[in-house]
Amino acid sequence: MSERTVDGRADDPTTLLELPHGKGLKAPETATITKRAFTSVILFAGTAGCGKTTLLATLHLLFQQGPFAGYNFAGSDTLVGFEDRVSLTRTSSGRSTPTTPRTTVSEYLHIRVRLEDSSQPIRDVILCDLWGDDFREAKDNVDVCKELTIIKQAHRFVLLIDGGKLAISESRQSAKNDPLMLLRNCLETGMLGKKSVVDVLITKWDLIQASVEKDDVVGFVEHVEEEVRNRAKDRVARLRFARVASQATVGDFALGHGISEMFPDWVEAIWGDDVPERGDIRADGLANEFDKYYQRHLTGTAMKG
Amino acid sequence: MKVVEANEHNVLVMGLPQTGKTTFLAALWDVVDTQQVNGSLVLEHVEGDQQHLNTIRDLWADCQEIPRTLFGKERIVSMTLRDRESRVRSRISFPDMDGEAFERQWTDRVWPRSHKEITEGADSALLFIHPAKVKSGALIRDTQRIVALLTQMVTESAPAAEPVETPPDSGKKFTPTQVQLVEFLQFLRWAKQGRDQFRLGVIISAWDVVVKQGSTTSDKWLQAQLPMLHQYLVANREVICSRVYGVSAQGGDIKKDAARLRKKHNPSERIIVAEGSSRSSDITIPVRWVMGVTEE
Repeated sequence: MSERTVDGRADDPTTLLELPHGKGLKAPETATITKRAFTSVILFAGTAGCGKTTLLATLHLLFQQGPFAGYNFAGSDTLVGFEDRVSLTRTSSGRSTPTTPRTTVSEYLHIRVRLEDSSQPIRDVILCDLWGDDFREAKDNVDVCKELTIIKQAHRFVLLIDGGKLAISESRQSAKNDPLMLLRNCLETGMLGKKSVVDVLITKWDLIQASVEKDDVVGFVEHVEEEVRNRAKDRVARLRFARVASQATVGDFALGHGISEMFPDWVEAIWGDDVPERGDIRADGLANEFDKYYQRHLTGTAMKG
Repeated sequence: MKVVEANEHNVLVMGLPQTGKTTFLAALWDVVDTQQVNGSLVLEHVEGDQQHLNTIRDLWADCQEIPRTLFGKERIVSMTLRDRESRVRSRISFPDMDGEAFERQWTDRVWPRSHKEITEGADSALLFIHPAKVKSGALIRDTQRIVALLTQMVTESAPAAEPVETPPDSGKKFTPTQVQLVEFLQFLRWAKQGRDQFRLGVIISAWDVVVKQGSTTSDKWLQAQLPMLHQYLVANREVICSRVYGVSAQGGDIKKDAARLRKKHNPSERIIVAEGSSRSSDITIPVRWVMGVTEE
């Protein structure tokens, strides 16, 4: 166990030593997890505000209530990261309405779970909470999309479509077109392909159900799902759809509505028999490719290699 | 009953501030010293700050409040204890550690070198939880529902916009207790990488308060009140072997019931130790188990 001194003399018993930070991980830090155990990597994609972070935060809240989707919580290297994402949903925040902090930097969250009957070993899962602006750029620029190689490396690509915007006539076309364009670019650049497993989540389902013109909105949602199906079927290994309300603000939806149907597959992503083999995740592959992307993006310089 | 002899055993005493660690130690000292409780471990030898033990024992016996252990004033007490039935002798050490130091592990992500060394050298642990000090992390959406129900209003109108700020670090003070406790156990495992199975006794202190609120067992209480911690222990049972005990070292509320409690000629008669449906005054039961004096 390495130790870093915060202050004081090295031999002084009162000297403070650093503990693991527990925050969301940067790409290179995920190697400590992927080297330790086989790890499912789940990528959540979607434009800013569509509900990616809220969904991940909700998983943390659900496990605080009890076992979820047949699994017991078994630990996390990023408890602080999860807590940062849920703190504004608690009464202790002093807020009257819950919210989720806007993601400003892409991070990876980690969770360990185990079947409630303990019939299987503990599973490690990395949840990629990527910055919405990354996907906005990937949607608008094929070259940028090509650099998001994490899409290729993830075991599941979960595309979130903002149901709140689909429910508003003034925004629903862009709400439909943005994820469709992202999907198109991912397919065209080979980031998604015949071995890819794709889940499409219509988020904020509570707002859709509460919409004044609910039937029309639901019909539009079905149209969007059909568009996705037409674009992606026969080009990916599997396509699933779900309608979720992570933290519903209207109606009588339980916390995490719709997520329990998806979660087991995310956990077992690298263990299932019916999924085409993607090959081993390189322990440093995740770090190197994403790190290069960020180096280029942030500094304007390209890393070697 | 198979018996395991342990010659040297270090017990890590863990818990947030004011969770009953020192009160437990005070009661334990009295029980092993006076040998008034049938079946308890027996004191053979003590090392370290005996004055501290006597001071806290006297306060406990008189139903007086025991001052908080302060950082820098921590003491390590070692006792050689003998099991009456098996006659196995074990030397156990209890660092009486400041609860705020555990709190800082979560809020500041640091620990003193002394704590790290104590943790690395621990052979088992006792984790203290006080029912009245559990932070549940209540959600705004749940309180909204309650308010709506009470006022028979449907809160569907768009609320006034509130700024979405990056959560301040001070929010860590409000982190639910169960999240912090899971992190403590993860740090424990991190410090003891590669170690074989570790025994953890979870002590629900002030158990008399829980009993007054209705019939339950210590394990069911943990499952209901701290479900994430319960799940963590179940899922990691191969690495952390745990048992949950309800313990009332005082036997009641010393602020309200001191007069009644002081009537006991032997203060150890006040002690309550509950595991499952069994109940005893032997506060050494959890200690015997984490030490592995008995394997069952």
